[in-house]
Amino acid sequence: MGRIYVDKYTARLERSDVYYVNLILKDGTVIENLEPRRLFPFTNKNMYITLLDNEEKEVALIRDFDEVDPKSREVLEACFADYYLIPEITRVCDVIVKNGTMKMVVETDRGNVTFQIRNRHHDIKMFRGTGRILIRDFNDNRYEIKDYTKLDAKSRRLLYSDL
Amino acid sequence: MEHSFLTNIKLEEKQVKTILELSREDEPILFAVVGEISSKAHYSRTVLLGTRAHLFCYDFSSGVCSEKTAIADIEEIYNKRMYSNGLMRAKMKDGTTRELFRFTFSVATLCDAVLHYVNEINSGESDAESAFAGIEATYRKFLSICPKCGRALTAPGVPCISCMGKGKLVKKLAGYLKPEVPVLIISIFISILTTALALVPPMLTKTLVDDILPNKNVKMLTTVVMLLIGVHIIHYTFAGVRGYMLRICGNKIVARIRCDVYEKAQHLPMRFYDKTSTGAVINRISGDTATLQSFMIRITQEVVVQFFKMIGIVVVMLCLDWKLTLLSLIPVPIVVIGSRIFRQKIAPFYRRIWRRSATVTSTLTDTIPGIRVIKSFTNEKNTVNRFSGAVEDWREIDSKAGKILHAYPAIVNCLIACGSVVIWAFGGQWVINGSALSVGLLVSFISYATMFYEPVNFFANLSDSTQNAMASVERIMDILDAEPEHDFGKGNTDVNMGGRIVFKNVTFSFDRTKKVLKNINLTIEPGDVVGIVGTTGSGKSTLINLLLRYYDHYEGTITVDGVDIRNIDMQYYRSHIGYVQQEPMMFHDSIYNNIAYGDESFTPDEIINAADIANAHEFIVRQPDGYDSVIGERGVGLSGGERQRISIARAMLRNPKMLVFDEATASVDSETEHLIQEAIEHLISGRTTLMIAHRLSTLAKANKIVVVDNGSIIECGTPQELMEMKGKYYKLVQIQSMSDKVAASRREENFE
Repeated sequence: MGRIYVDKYTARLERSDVYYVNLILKDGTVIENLEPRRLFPFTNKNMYITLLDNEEKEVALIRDFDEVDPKSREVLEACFADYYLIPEITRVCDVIVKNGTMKMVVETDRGNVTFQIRNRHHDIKMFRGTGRILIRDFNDNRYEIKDYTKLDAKSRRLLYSDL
Repeated sequence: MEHSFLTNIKLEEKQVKTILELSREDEPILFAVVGEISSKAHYSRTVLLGTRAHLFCYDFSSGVCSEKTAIADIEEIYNKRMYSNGLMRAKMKDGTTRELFRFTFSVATLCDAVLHYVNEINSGESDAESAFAGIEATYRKFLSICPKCGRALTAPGVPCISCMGKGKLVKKLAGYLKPEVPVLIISIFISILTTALALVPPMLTKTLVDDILPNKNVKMLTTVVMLLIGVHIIHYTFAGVRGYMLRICGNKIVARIRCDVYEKAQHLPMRFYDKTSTGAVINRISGDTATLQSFMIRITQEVVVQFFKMIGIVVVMLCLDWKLTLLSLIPVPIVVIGSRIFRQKIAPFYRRIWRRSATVTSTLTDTIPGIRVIKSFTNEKNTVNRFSGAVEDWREIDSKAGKILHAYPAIVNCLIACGSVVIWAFGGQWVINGSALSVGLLVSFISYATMFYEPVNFFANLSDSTQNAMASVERIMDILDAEPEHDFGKGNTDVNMGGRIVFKNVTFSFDRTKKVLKNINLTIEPGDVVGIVGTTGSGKSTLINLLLRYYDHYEGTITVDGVDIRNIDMQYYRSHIGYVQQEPMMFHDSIYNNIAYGDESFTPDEIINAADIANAHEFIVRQPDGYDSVIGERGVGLSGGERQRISIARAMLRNPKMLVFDEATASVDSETEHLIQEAIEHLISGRTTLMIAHRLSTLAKANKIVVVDNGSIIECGTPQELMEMKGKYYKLVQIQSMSDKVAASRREENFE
């Protein structure tokens, strides 16, 4: 079977499990338990969402999130909310640098957390000209700062020398 | 509070109490996986509790305890790895699905251990006690983190390299200075002498102005002038000698640090290079070491010299006139406070500037070696844009820093200049009023006052240059202190490397997001020729990487002759494995040296013999310079197949017990493949061999085929067995023989 492009005219989605959806085609065919994943989780979250079967083979592709019907969109959003955990850092409370490792105490949209960064030069990634920062911690958990310039003065000061 | 259950994080007393309350006397809690997110993926202290028969979860923030899940009722348990978080789920025997625990990757290994625990109990392989031993081992490993800095250690009990404190840092730096101590001491003496000499001229100025000039004493004038010339000659000669001495020992220091960093870089695990761009490493070896060198000279020399200078000048000034001395000290506090503010402002810039210049370097190291690709895709413009973007980033920050960097000295120098004006104003008045102050004294005093600010400035800025240097030190230490490849079995060479190789329950992931190998079990008998096949990305090469010990943070064990390979001496181990890569690395050196590769004990006979067996001799003799042809020099462009045969000769020469071919014939034409194939056949006789191959024809000699798919071994057996099974291998053979047939008929058509 070739790749199916999903939009509001060709198919709809319904949630079948925490991170699975069923794809229902216009002709009534149902493909069960597909796992939606973002193909551009950093650069363009809403473009190109792939639907994989349980062998991680692509069955269908959504080119544009906005092109699917509102109900399917809700389904996807709910799936992604469970699947992707990229807390958004809203405030940096403290940065402790000791012997090359860096400990960050932050407030995020999902609560407060403290984590360690192994390598300050590589695990803090800044997107040129956007103020967006992605952070990867010691255990490969991800965090995001949507816009560095919009953080409060103290947070900016704490991060300043590492950007 | 005392408790008997295992936990990965030290819990508060209240939390322990809560957990104990949840526990039943006849079924105590054995382990607690303390996680950090709730079932709704919000940060919250949660804990997965396990007893001998049940699993359940408790959320400290909400106080909600989940329903207890009986391990015996679980049909299947799995950890769904998602993005930055995972979900432990269980399919129950009654057909329902339960979500047991949501976790971040911080405790993913523990959650995997819980799966093992449940599976072992349910499969009936072992009872709860022995299954628990597995969990205990995982906890032990998990807890091998440095209690001071929380950095993970590769094994329990290993001292944390990054946590040996500042004392160690100083000790390390001192180690580089030690051999230079005699030179440094001599140089300090010279500089004290030159400092003392520098104090003489203003003194003589006083005599000139006050005594000689008013008295028109020509004879004295000549003496003083000669004296001054003498002082200057001695002063600058010594200064020159000292500068030369310092340069020599500075060079020695930087050379040693550079070599040490480079040597360390050789022993860093592959994990380090997976995450660090080569540009950043190169920058550290070349740039940061130089910063460090100048700093070390500065701290050992200038600090002493400037200190004596400052004391000397103050003493002389006080002797001359204490009131004027106090006047000239007025700007000192302002200079000191100003430099403090300056330091705070400038400190963050150094790191930023370094980051950006590292980006510039890594853009270079990325693109210049790939110039062919850039040209062929006519991508020059994009490449230039990328580079100028990086340069622009650097320029912007450096210019910003420049503002502060130059405003500060301007202000300070202005203050100092105004200070000397104050001395003129007051001293001048005292001279005019005819008090004890003479004109000569005033003039020489002002010379001293100006000289005085040099050490003041130096000390005010000392910690600024320290900051800059410390940033460099930190980055160098990042490499020097990074944990090297662990060689726990150093010295253990009592292993038959030709022995049986066993992979037992090997699971591996580069980062914790995706498992590249899942539960690999494989036994390779001595002398086996094993073909490893599978699609791209299936994990074939990773399997080999683990066997070559490029990574050692996998779960499970790999043994050779019954010994865990992590416990075998690294050098001994690797020296017995011949490794031939898909694209062999050739060094800019002669063919001879490329085959001998660093080992001078081989005779030309052995080398020629190895080249002969590898089918390389025949093309080497055609080179005008024979074995002395330097690879990469004009005219000595070897083809892919020729390079491959040289690398086979290289492997052959070492007479390894074990051979590993990673798609050795993937990038050559059929005829060359045949030659290489022949060379390989010479090489493998009697040796345990692992071959990764895309072309199944390469595996004609294999007596065992392993099919890897998606990180697991799906088929394993003799080629005949697998053909009879009609599984994946059968399919691959079908596809290839079909495409071979098509290719053959095409060729025939073309010939016609």
